[in-house]
Amino acid sequence: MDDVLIVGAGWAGLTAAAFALEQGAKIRVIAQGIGSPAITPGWISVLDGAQGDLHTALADLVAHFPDHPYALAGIESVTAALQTFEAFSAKIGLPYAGSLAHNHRLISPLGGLQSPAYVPPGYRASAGERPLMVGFRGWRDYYPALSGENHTLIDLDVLNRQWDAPPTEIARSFDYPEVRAHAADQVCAHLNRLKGVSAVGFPAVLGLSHPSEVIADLSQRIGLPVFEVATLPPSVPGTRLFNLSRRYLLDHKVRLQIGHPVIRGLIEGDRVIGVEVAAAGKPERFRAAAVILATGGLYGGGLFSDDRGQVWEPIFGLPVKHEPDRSRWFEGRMMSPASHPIHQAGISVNHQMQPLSTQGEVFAAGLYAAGHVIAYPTGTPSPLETYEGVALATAYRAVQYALGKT
Amino acid sequence: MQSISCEVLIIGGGATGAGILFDLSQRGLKVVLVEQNDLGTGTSGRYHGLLHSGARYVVRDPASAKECIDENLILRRIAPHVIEDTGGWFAAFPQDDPNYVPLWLQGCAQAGIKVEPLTPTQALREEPHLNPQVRELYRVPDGACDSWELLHSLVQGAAALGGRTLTYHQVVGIDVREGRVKGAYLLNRHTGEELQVEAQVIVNAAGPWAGEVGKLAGLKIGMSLSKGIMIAMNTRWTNVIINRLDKPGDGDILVPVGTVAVIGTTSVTVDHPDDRSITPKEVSEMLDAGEVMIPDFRMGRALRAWAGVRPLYDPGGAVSTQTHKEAHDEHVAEADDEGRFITRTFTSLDHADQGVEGMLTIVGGKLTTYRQMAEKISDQVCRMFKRENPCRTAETTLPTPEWLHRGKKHHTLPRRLQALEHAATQKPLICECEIVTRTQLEHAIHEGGPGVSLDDLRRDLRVGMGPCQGGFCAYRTAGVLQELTHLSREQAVEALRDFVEERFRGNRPLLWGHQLRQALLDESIYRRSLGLTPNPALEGETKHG
Ligand SMILES: Cc1cc2nc3c(=O)[nH]c(=O)nc-3n(C[C@H](O)[C@H](O)[C@H](O)COP(=O)(O)OP(=O)(O)OC[C@H]3O[C@@H](n4cnc5c(N)ncnc54)[C@H](O)[C@@H]3O)c2cc1C
Repeated sequence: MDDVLIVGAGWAGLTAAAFALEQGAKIRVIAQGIGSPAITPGWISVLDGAQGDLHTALADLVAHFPDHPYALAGIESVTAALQTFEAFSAKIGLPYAGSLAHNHRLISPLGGLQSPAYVPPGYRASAGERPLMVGFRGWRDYYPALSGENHTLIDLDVLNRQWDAPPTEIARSFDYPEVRAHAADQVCAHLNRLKGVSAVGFPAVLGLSHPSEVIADLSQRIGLPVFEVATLPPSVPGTRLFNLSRRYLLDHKVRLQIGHPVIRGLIEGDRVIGVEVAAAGKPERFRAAAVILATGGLYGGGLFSDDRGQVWEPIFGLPVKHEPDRSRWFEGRMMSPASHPIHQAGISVNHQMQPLSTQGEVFAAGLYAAGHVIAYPTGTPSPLETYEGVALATAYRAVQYALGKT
Repeated sequence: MQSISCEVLIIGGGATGAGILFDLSQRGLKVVLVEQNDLGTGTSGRYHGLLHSGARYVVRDPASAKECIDENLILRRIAPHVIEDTGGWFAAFPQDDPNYVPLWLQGCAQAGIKVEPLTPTQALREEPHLNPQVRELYRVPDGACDSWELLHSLVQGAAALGGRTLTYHQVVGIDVREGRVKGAYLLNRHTGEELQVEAQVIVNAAGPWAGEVGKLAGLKIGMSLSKGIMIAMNTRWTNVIINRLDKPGDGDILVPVGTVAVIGTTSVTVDHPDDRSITPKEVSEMLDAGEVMIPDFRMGRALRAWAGVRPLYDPGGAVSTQTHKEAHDEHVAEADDEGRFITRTFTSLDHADQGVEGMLTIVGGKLTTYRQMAEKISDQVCRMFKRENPCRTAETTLPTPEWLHRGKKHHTLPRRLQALEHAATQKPLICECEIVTRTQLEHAIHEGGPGVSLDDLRRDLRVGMGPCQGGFCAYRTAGVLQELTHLSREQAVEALRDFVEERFRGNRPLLWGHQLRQALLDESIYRRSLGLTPNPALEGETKHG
């Protein structure tokens, strides 16, 4: 029997495992597939819209919305989670950098700004630079002319064969010095014709297994700082995080079962005792003292919906709070300034991250939730702006209670 | 202002207008057709895709049924390349009224529609997805018809005879002097330039917009606009068209089109031809109806929902005597909420009655009967020019659009797969769902000429129309478009934003389950990965509403 069984390997599930490992727990992670890191940019958005100090902005947010996941987890969980994650990221060789003093200002693929709080190597503050944006001729997933005024296309040898290579494939090729040398030569030739360029931006594909060295090597060859720009999924920075975390967790005896769909939660009396996993033949049971449900929201696959406007949580059958009228799920436009009401859908939890029944009572002892399976109150900033921050804070909080550390 | 001249100006690039263009060109008149958008962007591109056998109408609307079967047989002869001969079944399920069957059989016999019974066992062997509770079935000569190809055949056939087509030209004014039509003013929607057309006769074939066009000539044309919705499911559940063997009702026809199956439709009166809204409730009702015919219907993925508006003529009682009038449409005349009997008619009007000579209007009808409608109004036009050239469209095989010959028909999946597999040098797949390569995209951008928009490319290539809803290919297409046309970065981002919103409008009624998940992923790609922001010009709007 495990101390804690985590369902899901997205941002919340993975970091919950990392946090539980700090506590020396016996951990099992069961997930249907690679989670959100592969489809998110790989950075940590705590509150993208915040200008200036994030502590103040967060304090404001929780004061206004006592049911916001940040308020339920508490700001102390946000800061503790970020600190713990920072240390963890350094250990796995992917040191994230940032603080709650202010958001980063990154150049977006469409020439705008993105403002996460913590970023992995590659995404380095780049607004205010006069960058040269570099893309790869014939590669479909990045168009430097849309990112900035100075731009160029270079040839990548690998692309002769792989015109529709996914970003992760291109990234793997950058792990090789020959590929970097060839790329750097072409960039340098172009730079000779330009004046005043202060940095060079690439799509976020600069190496898969050891990006810090790859980026350092490239900037040395080019003679200017090199940075990465997010592009279409699968996200290379997210994949790096997933791969490196996975290796670290496995090395530290965490049982990671990816590709195993949990079909049912097991409850005995008023306690959760484990989960059932689909397997060839008959379902397999896994027992644990505590279960953390980190399956994500409608987007992550932890919640389901139908054409009649119903939304449900399939594993434990937890009650889901959501707008019942499907015609109100979205604002008028996809790119509306306000968050779409459907983003609020989720389960209710208390301050200990325990899911609640319709009556507001603890649903089952030993059951906790983390990440985007949790509901948001109406009127909050879009969950996309607090995406990883909420995942980390709620995962941290859930682990503390699941392991009885508070 | 530039100007051109012609004998007859046709307003509206739907099946009716294109049919008239071809007919009159064949009769030797100098004709110009103008269409405000691309061809087939009105009702003709938003219809159910059925080449009616007429069997749907035999009980309440025998005249119309006769017309359908006549035209059905003619179209099979003159335009076989636009028809997929799926055949159709009328199938009675437990919910359906058994008393309807004998009436229906009698109607078919009278209209001359060949029906052939088949047993449920036979039927289930041919179509295993069909509801096994089916009681009774008959085969009828329904077919699936590609209106896009039909329109292009007509326009190309007319072009060879000198008939001219101007797309993206909207009629913004009609010149009427001393009770006679002199011509019209057009706005080029790509360049914003104005163009004057001199014409002796104007034919208003603007479908549901016929009333608006009438206003430009100071005419009041009573229209009753009836909206119908359709949903394409990503599974081609059957190879044959299924009709419910009962009184016509909502969601009672399932049409296989290419790789999908389309369920439809409904009938709701709307105030404006541009009202094409679709509510979640209507969608759920369509799915319920689909489940009567195919038990697993709801389990499929709803790919697209669209609405079309039927251009019905509603004279408010005063119908002129020379009006050709028949009950029409795929929904037979039904009593509405107030119990009023509404007939669906196709009608041609000569506005000389109202003091505007040289102006004709044709409204109503079905796509299946476009040729007959064109024949009627063309006869009228020829009389105005005192020419006696007889109609020959029923005997003339339509040309296959050139791009079909050259294998450049971008929008069918098998062709694109073939091109992809046989290409010597492959270029990146831009859109995985609809299999569009960069080569095809470059081609289409080139052919689209200056001002080509992402939305044109979407319609031509179907980029972004698959299950991923454009999440990936919208950015790629914007990137390639910018590269080839040297749009500014701001213009390219704006084009991307428009494309995103256009797809969202199309998908919104279908966002639940997998499609909802995809939309949320796409939103995350646009907002987070790409950093797309709300349109600053719209930012001032109220936040909730
Ligand atoms: C839901 C639904 C399902 C249907 N299903 C079937 C079916 O399965 N089989 C069948 O046979 N029939 C079907 N019909 C009927 C059929 O689609 C229509 O009768 C037919 O398409 C009408 O064609 P049209 O050319 O008259 O009108 P439209 O196709 O609407 O053409 C009118 C054109 O005029 C243009 N226009 C308007 N104003 C201006 C202007 N000021 N300047 C320039 N251009 C202008 C518009 O852009 C438009 O393209 C269906 C109809 C509906 C609504």
